[in-house]
Amino acid sequence: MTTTAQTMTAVALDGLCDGFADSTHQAQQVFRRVLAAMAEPGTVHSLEPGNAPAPLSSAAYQICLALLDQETPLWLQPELASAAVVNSLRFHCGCGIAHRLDKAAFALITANGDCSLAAFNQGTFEYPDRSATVIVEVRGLDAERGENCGEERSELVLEGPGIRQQRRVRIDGFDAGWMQRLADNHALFPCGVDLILTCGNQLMALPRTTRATLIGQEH
Amino acid sequence: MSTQLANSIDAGGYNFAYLDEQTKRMIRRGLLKAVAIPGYQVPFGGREMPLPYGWGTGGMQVTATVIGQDDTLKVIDQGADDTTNAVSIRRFFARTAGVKTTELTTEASVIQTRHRIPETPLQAGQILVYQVPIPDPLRFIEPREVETRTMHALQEYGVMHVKLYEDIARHGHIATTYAYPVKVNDHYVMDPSPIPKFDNPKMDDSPALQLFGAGREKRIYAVPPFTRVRSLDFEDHPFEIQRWDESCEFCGATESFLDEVITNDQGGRIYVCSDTDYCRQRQHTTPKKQEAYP
Ligand SMILES: [Zn+2]
Repeated sequence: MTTTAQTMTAVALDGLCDGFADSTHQAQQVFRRVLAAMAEPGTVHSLEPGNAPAPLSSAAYQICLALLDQETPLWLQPELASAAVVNSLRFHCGCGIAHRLDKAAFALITANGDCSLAAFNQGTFEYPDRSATVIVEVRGLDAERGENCGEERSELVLEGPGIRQQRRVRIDGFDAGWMQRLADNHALFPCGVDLILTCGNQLMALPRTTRATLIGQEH
Repeated sequence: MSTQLANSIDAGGYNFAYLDEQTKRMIRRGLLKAVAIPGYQVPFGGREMPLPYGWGTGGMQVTATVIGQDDTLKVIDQGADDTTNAVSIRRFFARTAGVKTTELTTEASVIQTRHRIPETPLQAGQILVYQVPIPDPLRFIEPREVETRTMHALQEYGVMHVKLYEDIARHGHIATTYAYPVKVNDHYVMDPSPIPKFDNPKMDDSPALQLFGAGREKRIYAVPPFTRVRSLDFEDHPFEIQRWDESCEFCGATESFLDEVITNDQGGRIYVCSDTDYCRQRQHTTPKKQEAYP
């Protein structure tokens, strides 16, 4: 275990971003919103606005601050692995950076990367809880009946636990390739990863139990 | 020491809601996985609560992990808010977390329970935390964890049906009345904790989030809102809940779970709602069946 002083000399402080001012209560509040999101897939939850190390969204950063520590290796897509991000998460969470996708407990990726979900730890049939949680930075999130949607916004129909019948969402950046990844991941149940989508200070979860269909492409 | 670890110890020398932040993070990560795999038992580690097992330490660990300053907590034991256990747990969280407490089901954001689900229908946004003594419904049949994990993974639940069918052979009906096993999201068979089977149908398609904590075995599991929860049964012996010919002595309820109370040496007995808040609400809104029992 390193002391704060050792950590400060060991890492460059380039772009070091503030952590939670009140970690006990802020971590609890962030966790509750992530829990509500995971319990009701497709619902959009807002966190308090806050600073984040570029290029991370505030939501992704706060989720990391709330849930990561020295027991949760994190894998970062290279585009997100700025010195500011790495230094801030190492300093505040004490988490290690995983160099292999399958060794990560958490991963931070972007929707436009070509990262395969199957490369992450899927859990085992006996211990499906050991699978990774993947935080995906997307360009936009809308709950049902979001109005000003652009052409490229995919409208999805979601079904599964936590959803009364069906829920419609718009996720900016989820293309046909993502629909296939979601379907493949869902088919692995009880194994498979769980997704937390982030944009600005908003988040939405798509656990492995959620079935997603692109509108206009049902069946 | 990371800054998060340093900040977690407050000036008063104890942690918010008793648990240290590291233990809370571990249980929080486990709870998210539990919600993502409905009915599956997630193992967890971490610090013990300052109470002996049997006092609901698993439920308290879950409550301590989810609760925040904006929450209003209700605690029930066998349906009652005023038992020693319920009062102790409520005071514990009022003192260590400074949360508001209530006896009203409709006012609570978090409800910790032992042996009952409130009669008043739960609402979206509410969290029900169950205290669980033995989390694995297969434990009575197969004591080895490595075996039961495989059985759950492969959905080898034939033995559960055999156990229930033995009841039918012996008693002519399924004699299991508490901790009656359920199947969640058409996959995992789950112990609903020792609630009466009367309460099982309330778990199905509930708008509330249901979390389960077993302290001794260190397991948590969950049922998300709007999730299918079916009690195991047979085509020729469908699942049925308890019914009473009597009604509540105090509020006249015929649809609630009734406790039998012996009133004198001559074998006199009355029936009263086990859910004290529900009974009290009904006494305020409906005329009494007769003179309240002296
Ligand atoms: Zn009554």
